[in-house]
Amino acid sequence: MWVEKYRPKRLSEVCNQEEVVKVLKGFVERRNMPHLLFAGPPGTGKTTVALCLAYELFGEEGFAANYLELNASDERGIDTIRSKVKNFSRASPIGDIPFKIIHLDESDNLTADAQQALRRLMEMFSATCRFILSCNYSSRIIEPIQSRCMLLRFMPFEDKVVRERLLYIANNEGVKIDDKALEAIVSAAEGDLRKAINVLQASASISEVVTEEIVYKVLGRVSPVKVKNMIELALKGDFIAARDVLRELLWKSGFSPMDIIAQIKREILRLDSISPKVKADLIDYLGEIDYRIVIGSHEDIQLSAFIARLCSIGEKYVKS
Amino acid sequence: MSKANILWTEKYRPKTLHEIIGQKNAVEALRRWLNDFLKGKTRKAALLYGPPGSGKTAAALALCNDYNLDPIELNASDFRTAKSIESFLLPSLSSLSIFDNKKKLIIFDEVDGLTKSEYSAVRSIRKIIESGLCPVILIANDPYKPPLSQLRDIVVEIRFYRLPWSLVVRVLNEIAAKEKVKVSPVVIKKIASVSHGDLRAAILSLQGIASLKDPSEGSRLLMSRDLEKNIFDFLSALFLGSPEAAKSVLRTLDVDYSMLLRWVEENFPSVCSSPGEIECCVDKLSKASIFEKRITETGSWRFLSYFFDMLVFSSSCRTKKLGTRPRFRYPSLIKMLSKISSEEGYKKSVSLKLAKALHCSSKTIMKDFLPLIQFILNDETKISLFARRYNLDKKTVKKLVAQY
Repeated sequence: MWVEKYRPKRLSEVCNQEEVVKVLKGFVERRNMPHLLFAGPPGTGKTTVALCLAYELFGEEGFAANYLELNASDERGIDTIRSKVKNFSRASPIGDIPFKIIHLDESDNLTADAQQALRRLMEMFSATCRFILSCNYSSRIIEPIQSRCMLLRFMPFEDKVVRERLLYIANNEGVKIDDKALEAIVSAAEGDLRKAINVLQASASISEVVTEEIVYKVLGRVSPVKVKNMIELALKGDFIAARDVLRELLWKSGFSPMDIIAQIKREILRLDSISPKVKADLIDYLGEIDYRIVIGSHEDIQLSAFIARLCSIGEKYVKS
Repeated sequence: MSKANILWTEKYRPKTLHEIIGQKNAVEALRRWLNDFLKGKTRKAALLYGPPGSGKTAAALALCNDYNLDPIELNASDFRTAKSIESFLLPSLSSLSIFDNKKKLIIFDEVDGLTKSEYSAVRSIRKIIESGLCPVILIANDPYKPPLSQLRDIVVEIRFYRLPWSLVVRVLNEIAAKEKVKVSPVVIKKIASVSHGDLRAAILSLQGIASLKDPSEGSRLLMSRDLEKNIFDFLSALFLGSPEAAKSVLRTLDVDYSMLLRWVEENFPSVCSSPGEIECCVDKLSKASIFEKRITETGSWRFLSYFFDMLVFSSSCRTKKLGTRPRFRYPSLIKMLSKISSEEGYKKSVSLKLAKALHCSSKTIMKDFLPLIQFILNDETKISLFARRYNLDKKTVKKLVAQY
C-alpha cells in the first residue's frame, strides 16, 4: 500500500504542518513532552506525526517496546483500554527516555464515561507514560482531558501540497497522470492526503496512464457521487428509486449521513433546473433535516424526508 | 371433562412439597412456619409472594397434602367485602371441631388484587389470623401493596423467585415425554425463554403447541403469524380506516416500535397518489422518529403517545380512497440489512487486521480502502502478495475483491 510506503519516517519529512513539527522537534531535543492532543480532519498526518515523534525519541530498537497505538473506535470498551494501558505502562520504559507513549487514535469516539476513566489513568501513569490523543474535533473531548494536554491543530493539506506529493509518488512509481486527472483527485480529496494517495494507487492499478475518466471511476467508490443520481431520480418523482440509492449509499457503501448531506448540498447548489429562490428553500430544509438527524432515531428516514421534498419540488418547478 | 381436556397445569400440579422445583428456601421456610404454628409457637400467617407461575399456590396446596390438611381456597378477588368473608368462613371454622377431624388451612389467593374500596376485607382477614383458629396462607405478587402492608405485623414473609430458564426447559421436557408429544428441543427452549420464568404460562404454551397438527415446527410459526396478523390489522386500520381506528389497534400490539415505523415506511408510498402526499407522510414519519429518540433519551414513556400520533397521522396526508386491502409488504430495508450483516462479519475482521497495519480504524478501512480493493488488487500475484504482507487468508482476500 502506497499510503504506508510513502509515509514519512522522520519529522523533517512531514510537509504542511510546520508549526506542529517545530514544537515536536523541541520535545525530541529536550527528550521530554507533555500529554498531547492532536486535532484535525482525517488524512492530515496526525498518526504519521505521532509515529515519527516516537521513532525519533525511542530509536529503531526502543520503538516497539515503548510505543502503543490504540484506535478508540475499534477498542471502544474502556475495559480493554484500561487493561491494555495498565499492562503497557506497568513495565518501566526500556532505554534512556524515562517514559513510554500511548497514542489513542480517534479519541472523539470514546464515550464521556470512558473519557472520565481515561482522565484518571492519565494522572496515575503520567510519571512513566505520556498520552497522545488524536481526534477530528477537540470539542468532543471533555474539558478535564483538554486541560491536561497540549493542543496541537492539524490543518487540511493545501491543494498545492497534495498535488506535489501525488506527482512525487507518481514519478517514483513510473505512473503517468495528466493534469486534469491530477486536479480531479486533488479537488475530491479536500485536503485528505490518505484518500488522495489511495485514489491515485487505485487509478494507477487500472492503467499506467491515469486519465480523468479513470479517476472518476475510482472516486465513485469512495465519494458519494451517486448522490447526484439520487437527486435526479427524486426530481423526476421516483421516490422509491431515489430512496433505494440512498439506502445503498448508507449501508452498502457505508457513507455517513454527514457525507451524504454535504454532497447533497454541493449538488443542489450546482443544479440549474431550479431557481435560486427554490434552491434557498431546499437548503433551508436540508439544514432542518441535518438537525433532525441529530435529534431523531432513524437517519435514513430523515434523509428520505428530504428526498420526498425533492419529489414534490420536481413536480412543481422543474421543467422537463 | 374428558381427560384430554384437562389443563396440563392441573394435571401436573405437584402433589407434595418435594415436587416443587426451584424454590428450596421457600419450601423449607413454609414447612418451618407450619410446624411452628401447629406446635403453637406462632399465630402468624404465611405470606407467599413472588412473580406469577413461580409455584406459590402449588406450594400451598402441596403443603396441605403433606400435612393432611383440608384447604379452604379463597380467591380474594371473589370475596371482596368483610361481610362476605366472615359469613363464608366463620361458620365453617366453628363447625370444624364438631363434624370433621381433619384440620383446615385457609388460603387467600391474590390478596394484592383488592382495590381501595375493598380494603375492609383486610380487617376480616386480620380477624381470622388473630383468632388463631387455623393456619392461614396469603398469596400475592407484590408484597408492598397497601392492603398487605397493614398485615405486615402478623405475617411471615416467604419469597418465591422467577424460575431459571433451564428448570423450565427440564419440566417442559418431562411433560412432553409423559404426554408423548414430539416437540423439538428448539421449540421447547423458545417456549421457556418467552415465558420469562413463569412455569404456568410455559406449560400452557406447550399444551397449545402440542395440540397443533405439526408440533415439530410449532412455536415460531404460531408467534410470527400472530405478529404479522397484528401488523396487517394495524396497517389495514391505518390505510382503510382512520387514524383513531389504527391507534386502537396499536394499543393491543406488542411490536418493536422501530419495526412498526419500518412497516409503515415500506407500505405508504403505494397508497399515496402524489409526490406532495408522499412528502407530507415522510415528514410525519421523520417526526415520529424524533419522538422515539426522545423516549430513549429521557427514559420517559410519555413521548410514546406522540410517536403513535405522528405514525398514524402520516396517513391523514393521503386522499386516495382504497376499495380493498392492498397487499402489504415486509420492510425491504430489514431484508437488506440482514443480508448485509451476514456479509459484514469477515469484512470487519479483515478491516481490523488492516487497520492495525495501516495505523487507522477499521471504519476508515471499510469506507476509504475496501471499495478500492478491486482496482488495486487486479491480478493473482498482487492478491497473493497482499495476503502475505498483511497476514490474511488468500481466499478471504479473493472473496473480498470479488464482492466490491
